[in-house]
Amino acid sequence: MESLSNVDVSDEEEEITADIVLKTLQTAWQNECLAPEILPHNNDMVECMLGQIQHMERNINKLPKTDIRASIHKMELSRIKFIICNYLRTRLNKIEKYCISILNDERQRMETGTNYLTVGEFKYAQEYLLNMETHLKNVVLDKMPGNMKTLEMNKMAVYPNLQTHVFLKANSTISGVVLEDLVGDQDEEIDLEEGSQHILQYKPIADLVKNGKVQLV
Amino acid sequence: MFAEKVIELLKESERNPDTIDPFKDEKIRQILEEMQTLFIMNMNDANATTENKSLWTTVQVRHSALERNKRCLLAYLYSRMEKIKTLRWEFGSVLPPDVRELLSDDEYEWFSRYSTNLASYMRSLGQDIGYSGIDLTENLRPPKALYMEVVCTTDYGKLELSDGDVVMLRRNSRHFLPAAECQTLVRQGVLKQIV
Amino acid sequence: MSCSNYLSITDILVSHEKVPCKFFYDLPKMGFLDPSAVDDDLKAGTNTEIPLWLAESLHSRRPPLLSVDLPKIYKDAYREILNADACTVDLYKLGQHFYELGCYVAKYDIKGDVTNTLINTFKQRFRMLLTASASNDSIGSMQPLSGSERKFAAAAAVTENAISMWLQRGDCALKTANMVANHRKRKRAEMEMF
Repeated sequence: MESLSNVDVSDEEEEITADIVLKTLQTAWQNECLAPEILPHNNDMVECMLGQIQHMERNINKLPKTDIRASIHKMELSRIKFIICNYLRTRLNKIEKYCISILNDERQRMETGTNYLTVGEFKYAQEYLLNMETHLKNVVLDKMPGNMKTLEMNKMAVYPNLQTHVFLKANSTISGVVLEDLVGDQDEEIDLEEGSQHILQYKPIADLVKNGKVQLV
Repeated sequence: MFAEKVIELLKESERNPDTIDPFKDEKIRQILEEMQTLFIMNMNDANATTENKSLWTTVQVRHSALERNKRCLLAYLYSRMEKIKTLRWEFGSVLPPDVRELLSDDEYEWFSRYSTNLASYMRSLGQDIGYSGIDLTENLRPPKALYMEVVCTTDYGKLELSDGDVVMLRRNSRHFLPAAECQTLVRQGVLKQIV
Repeated sequence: MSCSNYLSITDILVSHEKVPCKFFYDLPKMGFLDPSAVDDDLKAGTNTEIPLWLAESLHSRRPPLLSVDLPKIYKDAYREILNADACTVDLYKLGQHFYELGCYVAKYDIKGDVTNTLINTFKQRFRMLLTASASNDSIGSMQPLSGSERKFAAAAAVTENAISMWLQRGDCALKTANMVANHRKRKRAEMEMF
């Protein structure tokens, strides 16, 4: 990200922040792509980056069209835009796929103020589910005999497979990660050293991903 | 055997996982009819169980068949909804007439609602900071270059670029355009990238 | 499995496969479930094959209406063949949904032999699967694979391709150089346009 600093030479402080914002976003994007379930949103970072993009676009437009710097910055902007779009799209895909279960969990999370979805995403999820319900009812359910008309949300719900395995890297040393033994009852406890990489089941380390102690790779 | 028709329906739609087939209203109607018949038979037999206890088991068999038919029909509609979603991402909010024809009226209604919901979500992105939203259907691939060479497959007409230049897209004409501004047209098949 | 399959077409097709069952009760008017029966009614004690979804549902009633037996491809004779050398078996012919159906019927096998055979078969065939996904002769090597194995192989082949594409690209030009080149090309193009 050296070239970010070229855009705005006057304000040294902001560049460092922009750099951190981008790194945070990249990690969030990577985690979101690799985790089976939806992760807490990073709306502040997204909005901050969008602001930065706007700022950079204005600066680029000041440069003459054939200036080589304009091309380089444009390229960089489109790379950042790609990350943001892909990140948000990945979240939307999960929201659509696990709509019912995400909405159920989210309602509980909202009570404690620990929501994972942004306001926009939550609205989108509700509307999406409502549309699906209306469609299924209109086309078949309403035409079915008496006791078959109801839409059984709990049956329809799709849940992410938390038992899937993921590659991860420890950002700091963590001791006492409990790996459940699904078949027997011999749980195993392991320590993750800072910087070490592992292949583990997602479920036991889900919270570590969410609080940033590990990242998926 | 029970629920054979609905299996046919599912197998048919599985055969072409990458395209959408015309909506089969007639088949759906027949399956719903089969369900009504099963239901009526069950009502009658359930009333007769006081005299003949063994009818209960029969009622249970039919009930399972009803549940099965319901599940399969929902799965059929759901798999089509998934495909219609893809249509929205790939064709945009306006479907070409030949694709539109493959959807039932209810499905088209669903498509429009999905599209509206998606659009209002995309518009809301970054609204708090005065940003006018991002089109998530763009930027689908990691950018490799700012410009790309494309050939036009149809007589599309004028394309105005953000810097004010206007390009005339005629069939078989070749252009060198900013990737950001023509990727949607490439996805829609109006332009083809030359590599 | 924690994920629900209610809307999965694959799961619906798997549960459409037939399994042998023995009925415990009379089923009036259900004679058609047994193709060899002549009566309108299905008698208690009848052995016949019905789709898995129906068998599962009737088995889960209290009391269960029937008992489920293993389809022949999961029985001793086939298990022996599979345990001896799973790679020689054409799983597609044997049962397109070999693993998926196996997972369902394994619970009707108290000794757990089916489970072991499934795992064993997969372990043995894994190398074969790898070869199939890297092979150019896709039709020949895909042929003996079961439905899900085919999907795996196809997915693996796509990934393999993507990686080699990516490697080649990373190889050909540096990013800035590429951009400069593009810039020159763009100038040329602009000159052509006007």
